[in-house]
Amino acid sequence: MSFIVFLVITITFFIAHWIPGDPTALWVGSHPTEEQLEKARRTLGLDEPLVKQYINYISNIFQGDLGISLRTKQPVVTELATRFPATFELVTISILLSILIAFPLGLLSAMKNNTSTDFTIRSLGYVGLAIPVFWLGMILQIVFFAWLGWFPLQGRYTSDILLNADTITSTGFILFDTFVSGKWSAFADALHYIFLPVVTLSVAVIGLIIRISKSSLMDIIREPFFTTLLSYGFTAKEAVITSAYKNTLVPVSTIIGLSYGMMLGGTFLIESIFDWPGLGQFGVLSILTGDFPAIIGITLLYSISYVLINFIIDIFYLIIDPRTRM
Amino acid sequence: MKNIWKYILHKRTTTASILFLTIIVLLAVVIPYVSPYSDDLNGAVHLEINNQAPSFSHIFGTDSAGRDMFTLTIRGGLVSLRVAIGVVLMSVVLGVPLGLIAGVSSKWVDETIMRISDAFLAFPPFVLPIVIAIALGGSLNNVMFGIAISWFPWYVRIARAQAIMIRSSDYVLISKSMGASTFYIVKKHILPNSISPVIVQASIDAGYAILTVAGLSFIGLGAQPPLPEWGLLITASRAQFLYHWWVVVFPGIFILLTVLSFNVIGDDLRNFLNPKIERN
Repeated sequence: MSFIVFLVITITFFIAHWIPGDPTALWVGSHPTEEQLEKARRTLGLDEPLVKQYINYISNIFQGDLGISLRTKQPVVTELATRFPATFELVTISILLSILIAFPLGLLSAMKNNTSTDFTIRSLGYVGLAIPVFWLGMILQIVFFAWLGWFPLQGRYTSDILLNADTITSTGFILFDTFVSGKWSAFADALHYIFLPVVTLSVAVIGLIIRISKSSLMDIIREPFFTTLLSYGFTAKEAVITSAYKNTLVPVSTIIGLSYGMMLGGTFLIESIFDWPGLGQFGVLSILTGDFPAIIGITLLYSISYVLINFIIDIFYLIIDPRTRM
Repeated sequence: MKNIWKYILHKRTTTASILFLTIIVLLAVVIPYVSPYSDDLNGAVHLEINNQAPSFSHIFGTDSAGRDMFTLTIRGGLVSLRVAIGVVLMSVVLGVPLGLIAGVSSKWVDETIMRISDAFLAFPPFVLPIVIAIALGGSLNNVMFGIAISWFPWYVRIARAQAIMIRSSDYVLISKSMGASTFYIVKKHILPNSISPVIVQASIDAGYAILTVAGLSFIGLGAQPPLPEWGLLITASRAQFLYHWWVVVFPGIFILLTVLSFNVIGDDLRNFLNPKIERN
């Protein structure tokens, strides 16, 4: 895993270097003097030879230094840290919701193979995977905000609520903080705001998990042990609920790893549509303003989280499937 | 090959998908010659008729610059065709040879190729194309290249898996014992056997390529105006979309149906090539 992280950092460094244009220009603003440019180049470490820059870059990363955002002039690490909780809440809730909805649906679809239930669930899966997320987000805003007025358009909370309960969040994890401290009205408010972004982010992953859980249960139903269970007098439903579903956990958790990646990518689109103050929105703002250190910072953070999640899932295999412990 | 057509025509979902994609492409090709609003494709602006709801003269309405959404959306089919073919072709050209080399080479070469290609998979999908597109400058071709760079490892894996499976089969061993070179074995045995799994992956990826490019265009990195790319059409009117649903709805439906069609075709092909799955 550490080797993959190292490769990711290296690839990112070379891409960063490849970026055309002079980052110093953005740093000093318009009409700089030659002196200012020179100073900026030294501050950004661009006057060093490439190998030296690469070594600096890696040692800086390990010291938690990702450079300084050209747009906000704040350390990139600080910027990422303040935005991390918003994205973490969004992605975690979406993943949990997707699993809770899609896994049972996938199993049901396999048990009712070739019935109208199966057909409906399968179509749902197909559409979920083909739907453009940013489009879905906008459609939901049109229907649930502009037409019905049921949900807020964008943002993370109603601003007066945050002002009234001044110590509403110390960590940035609004849902968690308000839940723990029992500030129910603020908690409900935050839930109200997170609802549409979560739905938008979940749809594609729901499609993916439905398909995988269905196809892996279909494989298991054909196994001799399943027939044995049936011959003992279990109904198909009992056999699935008590034991067969466990065999789908390995393929499904692999897909959950992949889903995390899909969702991290999706945050760029969804956070900018719903004005969600997280990493994805920060990423899009950085893209639009050419803030390269920030873009590279997000890329590193996302990629390393993704590698980490998949590593955790690999360990999870050992727990759920004794066969992999060999 | 004959069987495959018989199978595909027998499956109504596949037939419908192929028919849909064909119609999309044909319409996209003829639209500049038949639409009364073909000027709009070159970025014409008619502010006096902007943001009009669908009507007889503009069945998909008009956008914020007064352009006919029907003409633009239909023409978008051609852009998407270019995206689908371009991304898939680049991924295959990068991935398949590397996979074949990895599959028939020594352990050391194999390991090196696989570790490097795995590193590209370590980036979350969508993130690597973003960075590459920024590095090269946001244009449709650069975004397509960025997507291909992040997807080629899947083709490396497919080709390598086939190479490893076939290289130890009896007929290849016999062929080898009779003096066939590695190159001959790859060309004669391994490559032909890799084609079907690559085609399945390609047809699914074609749809996702369109979906990904639409997303990247949406954040300003992909297609640039006045190219009628579907994602870009949706973005173009973003400032006022809440009360002009038609500028969002129609291009999105075209993306959805096109991606759906590619997925259905890919799945049906897979079932055809893997009869074990099909029988259930």
